[in-house]
Amino acid sequence: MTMAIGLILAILLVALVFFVTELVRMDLVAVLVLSALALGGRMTPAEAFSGFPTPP
Amino acid sequence: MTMPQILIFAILTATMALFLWGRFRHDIVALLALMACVVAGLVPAAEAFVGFGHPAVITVACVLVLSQGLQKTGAVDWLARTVLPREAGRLTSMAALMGLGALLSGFMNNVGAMALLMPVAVQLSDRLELTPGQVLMPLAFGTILGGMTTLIGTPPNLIVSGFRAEAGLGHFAMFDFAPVGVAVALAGVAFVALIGWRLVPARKASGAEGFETASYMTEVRMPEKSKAIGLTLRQFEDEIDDSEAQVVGLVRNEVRMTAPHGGRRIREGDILVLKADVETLAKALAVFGIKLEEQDPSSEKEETTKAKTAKDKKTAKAKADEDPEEEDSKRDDEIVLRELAVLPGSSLVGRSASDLRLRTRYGLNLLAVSREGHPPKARLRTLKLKSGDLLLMQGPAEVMADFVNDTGCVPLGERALRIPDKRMAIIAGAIMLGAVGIVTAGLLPAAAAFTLGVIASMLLRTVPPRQVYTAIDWPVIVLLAALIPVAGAMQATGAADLLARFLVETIAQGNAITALVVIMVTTMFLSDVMNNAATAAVLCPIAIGIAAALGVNPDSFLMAVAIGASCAFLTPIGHQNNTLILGPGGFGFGDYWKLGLPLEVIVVAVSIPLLLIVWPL
Repeated sequence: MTMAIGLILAILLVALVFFVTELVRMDLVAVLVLSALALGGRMTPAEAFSGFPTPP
Repeated sequence: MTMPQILIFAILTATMALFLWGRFRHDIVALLALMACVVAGLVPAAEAFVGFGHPAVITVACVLVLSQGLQKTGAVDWLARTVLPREAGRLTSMAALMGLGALLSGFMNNVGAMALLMPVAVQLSDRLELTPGQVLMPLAFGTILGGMTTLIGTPPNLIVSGFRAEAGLGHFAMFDFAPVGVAVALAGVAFVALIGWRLVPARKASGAEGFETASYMTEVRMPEKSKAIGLTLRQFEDEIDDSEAQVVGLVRNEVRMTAPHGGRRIREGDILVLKADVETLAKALAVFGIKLEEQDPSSEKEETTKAKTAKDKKTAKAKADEDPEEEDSKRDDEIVLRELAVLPGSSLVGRSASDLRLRTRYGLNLLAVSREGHPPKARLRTLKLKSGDLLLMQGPAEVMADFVNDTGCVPLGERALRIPDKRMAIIAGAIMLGAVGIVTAGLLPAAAAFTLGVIASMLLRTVPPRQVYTAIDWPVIVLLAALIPVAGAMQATGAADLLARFLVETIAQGNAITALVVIMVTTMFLSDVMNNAATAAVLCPIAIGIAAALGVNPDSFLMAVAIGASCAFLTPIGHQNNTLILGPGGFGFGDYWKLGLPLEVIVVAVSIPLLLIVWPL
């Protein structure tokens, strides 16, 4: 397992915990995940917002 | 000209015509343009919605949320209190107010800055012995000028930056706009504060004075055996419909009710407080065997009702020299009169008082409406409200505050500056400064930095998570997201280059400086009649095309578009801030250019030489 895979799995796990416990609103969790990935260098900022237009 | 070029020109012409016509809201027009491009095959269906992820669009949305934080926590009120001089002459006061408006709108959305400072401006006009409009128009223009000073100051700047990035030159930095923008804003503020405000027509319509002639309050006591007894208030109002009377209050058993429910039945001995035109009312009431009470009811009324009735009457008739003691005596449960300006995008727009069921739902009376300086011809109850209308409303202070929050109105004149929560205000300010700092230092692009700011606002509760989505002006977001691919199609089909070459060869004759002036003046003119972000989106590809045709630096031309797009001073429809002061200032369509035209000339005169120095061709 590379460092990148470990990082992504860790972020997803934390997100899952938040989604389940509902400690924080889910829209906020999702954006936090996005920022964590962008800051962790897993994504360019341009890619970070490419999810907003999602064609069917 | 190729077929795609002809198609995109046709679509753009139709789009601009629809923008100018103003029949449909700008976001609808923009979506129509986008779909026309998709159907015509100019924008691939898969890429039709990429505009929603465009950094400019994301940043605009985030800036709106952060602005909301600054407004709600009172950070702006604190700044206003610190900056604005308490006792100063016209020149200093006016310059300080416009300067503050410009500074704020450099970092928050222009409408937000305007709405916050409007009550201050109305109070100031009173102190300076000017009409409210003579201060409101300079303030509106100041906030628009301030938008051109930073990357986030106004959506056109972000659009311009986006087109630069797509052309492969990278985004503009946070303060790239400042050298020219600040100079132009300062020149504009100085001109308006020194000379310009005298050019604003002195319209008397705002304030209570504007309402004076419309109608006033009167009271009637229900005599024995009147035909009205047993009717509900709503039925009674329908019966006397011709006089346009409204039952705004009811006194029964010495208890006074404001804005009574329409379902209440009239009993013997009730005193109805009516707001109506007296002459027609007397005829209508004669049918019921009712006589009008004396105009001054205090002689025969019970102690409890006397004070308030007298006060209502006095304020409604509104002597220009309003009683200052009245302010002090206000309590939470007290009945107050408020003037409210309808913001563009308010939930009130397009609805009438009876649609809103003001009395049943809120217990508020709508006493009068002032539109462009006159009471409108239509009946008050069925009049569809428009943005920029000024409403005179009466009701309990607390309910009024809720109503203002729910519907997006700006209360004028009465609101004192205050800090609801000092700690929150500091946090909100720090978040905004932090985001600006990160972008300025080049650590993150604007979209990412301001998204972090939004997350911080949500986590630290300067903007409650519930309010995050309502803070965003969705029509503007949709407009931008829809027009970006359309403008892209103009570039992709080569239509922009075609138009650019045409402009260069005919009007500019190959002279770059003439071309620069042409592009700025064209942008200004379009921005005066249509949305400024839409203007920027359409003109950016042309600007880049002109620079390419002349073989010069595209930055000078992009900056010219940014400056021009922020110059909507000729009409009330060019910018939301101009629309907002229509009612409160008592202005009409033709009142704006008198100050706006000289101001636009000054902007061109100052900015062109500066552009050539800061962004050499």
